Amino acid sequence: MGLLSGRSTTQAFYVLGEVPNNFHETYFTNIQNNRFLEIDAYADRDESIGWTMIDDILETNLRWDKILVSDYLTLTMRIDTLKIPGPILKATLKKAFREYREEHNKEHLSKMVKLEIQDRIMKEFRKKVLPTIRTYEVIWNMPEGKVYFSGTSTKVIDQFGELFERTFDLRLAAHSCYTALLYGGFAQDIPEKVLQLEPMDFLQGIRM
Amino acid sequence: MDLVDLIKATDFLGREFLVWLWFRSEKNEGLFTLEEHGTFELYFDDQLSLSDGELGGEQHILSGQEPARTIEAKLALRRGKYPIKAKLRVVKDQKEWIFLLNGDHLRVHSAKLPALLTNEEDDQFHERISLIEELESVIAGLYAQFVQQRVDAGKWEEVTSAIHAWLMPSDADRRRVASVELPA
Repeated sequence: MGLLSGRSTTQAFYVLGEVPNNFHETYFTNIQNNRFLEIDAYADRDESIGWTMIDDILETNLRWDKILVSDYLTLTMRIDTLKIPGPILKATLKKAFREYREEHNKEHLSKMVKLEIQDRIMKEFRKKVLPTIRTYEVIWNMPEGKVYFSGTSTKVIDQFGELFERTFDLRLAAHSCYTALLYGGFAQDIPEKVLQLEPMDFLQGIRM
Repeated sequence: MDLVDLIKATDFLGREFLVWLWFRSEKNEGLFTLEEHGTFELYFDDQLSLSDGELGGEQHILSGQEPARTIEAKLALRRGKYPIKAKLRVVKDQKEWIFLLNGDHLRVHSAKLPALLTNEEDDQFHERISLIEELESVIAGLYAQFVQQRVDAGKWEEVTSAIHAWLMPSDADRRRVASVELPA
């Protein structure tokens, strides 16, 4: 499910703040600086988050003329996560420790040796294991100050908010019953009036 | 209170909004009017989730043909279980959207959009985003209408009296209740 095809699931956001006049230059530079990069098997990071083209999650050679489509800024947020299955890691380490003990005629291994073996095994797995890839489409209606995002889990929404703020130096407010009152064109006194309300009991006298 | 607290403090609005939509859709045979969108139709479709709102509380998911019109749905509502999620159908200008509306966040899930009319890729993008935004705008307009009534004490009393009357069980309901297995 996404914004561009199939059934659409949408978390809307209000963009807080103004887009700068020179956004064509600054935003493209910032998007490139935050583009998606493959996980380095030799590094320690297990997760990589960044931007790709909205219609091609493998394309990180970003093009401004494809990102800005009339009034809409369009991107995909890609999250790759490297996760080595626990049981297989545990079994492989157990085997590696045993082989080391037999080869070196040791009854016990020091903590340092164990860490060295573990580090080696992890690096080997990192080269072999494919990451889990998750992608979320982003469409920003720039004149209206509204962003549509195809992710809905709390963690992904937080990750998106951080990436968006890091890239565009603008904060987002997720659409909700209350934020709609603040940013959705209501009169200024409405949020305060709503906060004075008590939840309604529609059922007084007719429960059954 | 910080923003998170304010959002939590007002999440009852989403449930009340769904009750309001449910009532108005049934009473006006699906017809709604918004200044920006003219007259259109909104119906409750084949899925309705109700809950008493307590953390970890039981949810009732009713499905099938128009579950909102069933006695089970009205009984659940009369027992204090409010709608938290509903599948809705909007028909406007010969276009139809079918989607799940989550009352807590006013979030649209799994929206089936009207068929695209254009063939060119760039035009299809604009048409599709336009359909997504049109649906969001309809929901926003209805929510605004609800909120304006909700904060007007006099107007809201009229609305709640009407909803109260709508919820009042009829004699036929009482006879059916006697023979139907009620949700716990």
